[in-house]
Amino acid sequence: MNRPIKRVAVFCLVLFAVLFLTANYIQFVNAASYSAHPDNRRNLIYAYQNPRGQIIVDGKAIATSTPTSGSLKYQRQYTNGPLYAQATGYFSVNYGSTSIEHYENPLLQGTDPRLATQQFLNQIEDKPKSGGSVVLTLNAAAQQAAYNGLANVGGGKEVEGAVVALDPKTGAILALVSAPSFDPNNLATHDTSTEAKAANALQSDPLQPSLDRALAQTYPPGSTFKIITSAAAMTNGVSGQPVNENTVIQSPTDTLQLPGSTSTISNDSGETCGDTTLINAFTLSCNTVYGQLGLDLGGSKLQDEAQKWGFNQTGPTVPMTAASPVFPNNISQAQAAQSAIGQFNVRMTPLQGAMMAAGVANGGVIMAPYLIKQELDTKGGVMSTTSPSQLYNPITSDQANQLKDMMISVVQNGTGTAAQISGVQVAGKTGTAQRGTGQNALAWFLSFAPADNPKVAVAVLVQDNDPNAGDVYGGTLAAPIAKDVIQAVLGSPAQ
Amino acid sequence: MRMTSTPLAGPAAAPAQGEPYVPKRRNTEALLLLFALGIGLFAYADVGDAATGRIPGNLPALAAEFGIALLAAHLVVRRFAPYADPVILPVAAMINGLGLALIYRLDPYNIANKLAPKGGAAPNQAIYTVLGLLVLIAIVIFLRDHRILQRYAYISALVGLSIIALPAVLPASMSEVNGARSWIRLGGFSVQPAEFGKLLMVSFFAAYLHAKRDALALASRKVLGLYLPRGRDMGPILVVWAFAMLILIRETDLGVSLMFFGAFVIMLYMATERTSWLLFGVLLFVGGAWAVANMSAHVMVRVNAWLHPFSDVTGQTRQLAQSLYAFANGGLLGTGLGHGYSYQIGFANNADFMLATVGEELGLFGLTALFIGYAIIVMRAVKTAMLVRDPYGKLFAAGLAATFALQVFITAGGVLRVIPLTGLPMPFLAYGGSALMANWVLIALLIKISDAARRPLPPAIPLTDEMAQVVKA
Repeated sequence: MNRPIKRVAVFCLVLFAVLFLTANYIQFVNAASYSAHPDNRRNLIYAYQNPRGQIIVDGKAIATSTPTSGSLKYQRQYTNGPLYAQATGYFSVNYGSTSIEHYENPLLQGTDPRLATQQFLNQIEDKPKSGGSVVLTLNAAAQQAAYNGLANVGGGKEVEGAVVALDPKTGAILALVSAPSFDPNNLATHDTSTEAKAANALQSDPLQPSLDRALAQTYPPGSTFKIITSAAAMTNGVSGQPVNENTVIQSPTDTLQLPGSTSTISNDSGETCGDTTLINAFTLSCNTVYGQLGLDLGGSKLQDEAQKWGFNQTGPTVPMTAASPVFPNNISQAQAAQSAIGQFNVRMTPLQGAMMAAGVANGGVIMAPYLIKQELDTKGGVMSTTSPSQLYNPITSDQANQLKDMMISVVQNGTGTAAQISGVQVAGKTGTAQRGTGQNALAWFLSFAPADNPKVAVAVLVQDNDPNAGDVYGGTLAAPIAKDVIQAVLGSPAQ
Repeated sequence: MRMTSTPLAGPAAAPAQGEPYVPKRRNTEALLLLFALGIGLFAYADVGDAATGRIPGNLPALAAEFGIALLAAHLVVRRFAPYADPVILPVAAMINGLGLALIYRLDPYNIANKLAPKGGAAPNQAIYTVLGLLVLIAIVIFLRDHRILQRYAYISALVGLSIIALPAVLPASMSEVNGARSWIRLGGFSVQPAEFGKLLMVSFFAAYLHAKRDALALASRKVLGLYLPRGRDMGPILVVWAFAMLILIRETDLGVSLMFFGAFVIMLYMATERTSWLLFGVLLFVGGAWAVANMSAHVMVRVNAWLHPFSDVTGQTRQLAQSLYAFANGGLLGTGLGHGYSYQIGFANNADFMLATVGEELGLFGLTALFIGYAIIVMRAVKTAMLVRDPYGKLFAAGLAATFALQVFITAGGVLRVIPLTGLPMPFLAYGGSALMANWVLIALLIKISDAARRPLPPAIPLTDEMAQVVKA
């Protein structure tokens, strides 16, 4: 009887071999895919097991980790959550992460390979693992001014809008606000029901506070696009003649009839422009003059110029990737006239607006915008510092100086007087974009200051919530916010 | 495998004709038991340290308690079964100790979620461990010869069948736990009768097949190259098949029926050496199981979960998915005791799914070591079967080995997704008093049979035919 017993013994060993091989497959070969399954709560537990690195603005931590008593051992907390929500984003148990929390996750989490040596030494010393920190370029005062400006502009009513401020010489983002904002603390809570309630409220809010209007949304630029139309005229000349700020542009006084169309372009408030210099037309934001320039230049030359400024290019990565600004292809003459005044299908982000102002301020060179000043290791030592780099160079420094004169004139004598600051020369351009019926008008203001030695370039966008509201002028709604931001930056000790 | 030597053929025994010397190996057992105790206590201390940062204060008391219990078992074996296999008892003790530490490790979560008694599952399991060792001691002392059990073959069958079938006829309120009706619950007390039933049935199979093996093996017709059994000999296999199916249908318990039927087919094969029986049995089971899987919603759910473990991770495949996460997280070396998250499996995390905690906290290395431990018990039982002289003992030991191996495979294979998940507890590892006691009975029986196997024969008695057969084989 021993022969079949031996065979059964072999059979039993085969059973154990199958178990052994399967265990190898599950625990070794295929382990990564099981570990990565979204339902696997270990990822979360591990993500919350160690203190996450800080996010720092002006030497103060705006995102920190505090110990809890639950199974998720550390809780993310945001100081002044709504103020910095667009920059920090959130780090949520069930709703993922956004913005810096998302893009810098490996560093904040401590899994960044650059931290490996330090984590290894920590482990030897039996110290807990921790994350590295991120220092943002934001200027706390400018951020607060921008946030307050957008919060108060509606006079008690929540208004959609965005502010982006840049250091024109470096591209460092000094303010980044999208209104209305939200409190990332509500999404970072470990209380699932509070978290779900906050997420649902964000979802169902008609004003969509979680939209990143500053970087991710594009809007018609309105008259602010006249900066680029002016540059196109200077680059290409008109009717074979070179153009500078003092060149007189021939155009209708009140109304420009568009070719092949029944549409017309007229000036706001019925201003009379007629044959006038480029700087004067820019100062008064004459639609007829710039519509005529659009007809003279044609769609393709306008598009070429716009593309030099970043239109139709991949949006910059700050590290969040901004939406790409758009100038339409193959447009008719009528559409070219409308595009020249920033209407039709021209669209840009508030970041793009700030970059345009910064380009003029910086002698024609647009620096790559960035939000991360430094990355710190787990002990707070500087691991990397962002070095500024040039992104676009659309115009010569001479053209930049002329555009600067024109923008100074806007604030001194034109539509942007609300941005005047005593003792500081401010340059700016207003914009008002009318959109289709039922859609709200947009107020823009692009600016920089001080004009002779620019330290800040600001783009402000305010969107009225009442589609039937009267005129929403960049000069009256947006310019005062830009002024506050400029004052905040210039008043900061660091600058 | 060089296990075929007779008890007389040991190197030391070869020359002597009169009083051959067979090493008793009791000191080996004592050392191995000390080692097993050490592993269990170390695991317990490690778990306590992970949970509270301190070595548990009752460690010396526990060391004394289990030390005394194991010492008593060892001394009784030394006195009443001196030639017993020296490895079986220590390996079982080691797995039992590891199981206790793991149950203790999962207790904080299970108490908080009302999956364990208020005082924790570990103290209960500790009591059952000691009771199990006492039962072992009683069997080793009072069961003078395993062949006595052969006399009670039909009573064993009757009792075994009855208690296995009992949950099927009891109202669901008294027998159903988590969808499977394989329990007997009375008051606060619950028993998995299949655990004891399997021992009684294996004993009966051994006795029955021993008596009928010639008829089963020889009287057959050759059809298509296979020896097909006669109709009247097919009776018992059909009865057992029908019975396994009945369990499956009524108790919705694929695991018990697979173990029960598989053990019978394997023993049938060992008794008759006829591959045709094996084929016939496998076909019957697969056919029956397929039919039942298509009829029973509960079994179908298990099969679907097996095929698509991530199809319903918050519902019906939750536990299987969670157990796969646990294994994956353990990797090669494991997270260390107390540092894993297998408790998220929830219900039965310390029973049917206990292996996931081993995999996560002790890693592939620890899991492999555990499998080797189980395999050692099986192989030692097989060796006992080959050495023991009486055919009943052979079939009984081999049957116990096969049953044990099947139970490990069915349970581990279910959690590791080799086969659909069924409701069997990991032997010695899982929380559950009745299963633990039954497994200690199994070890006690193996100790007795191995003692008989290795015990030298009195010199005066000449070789019997069966002995000659053993030598030949």
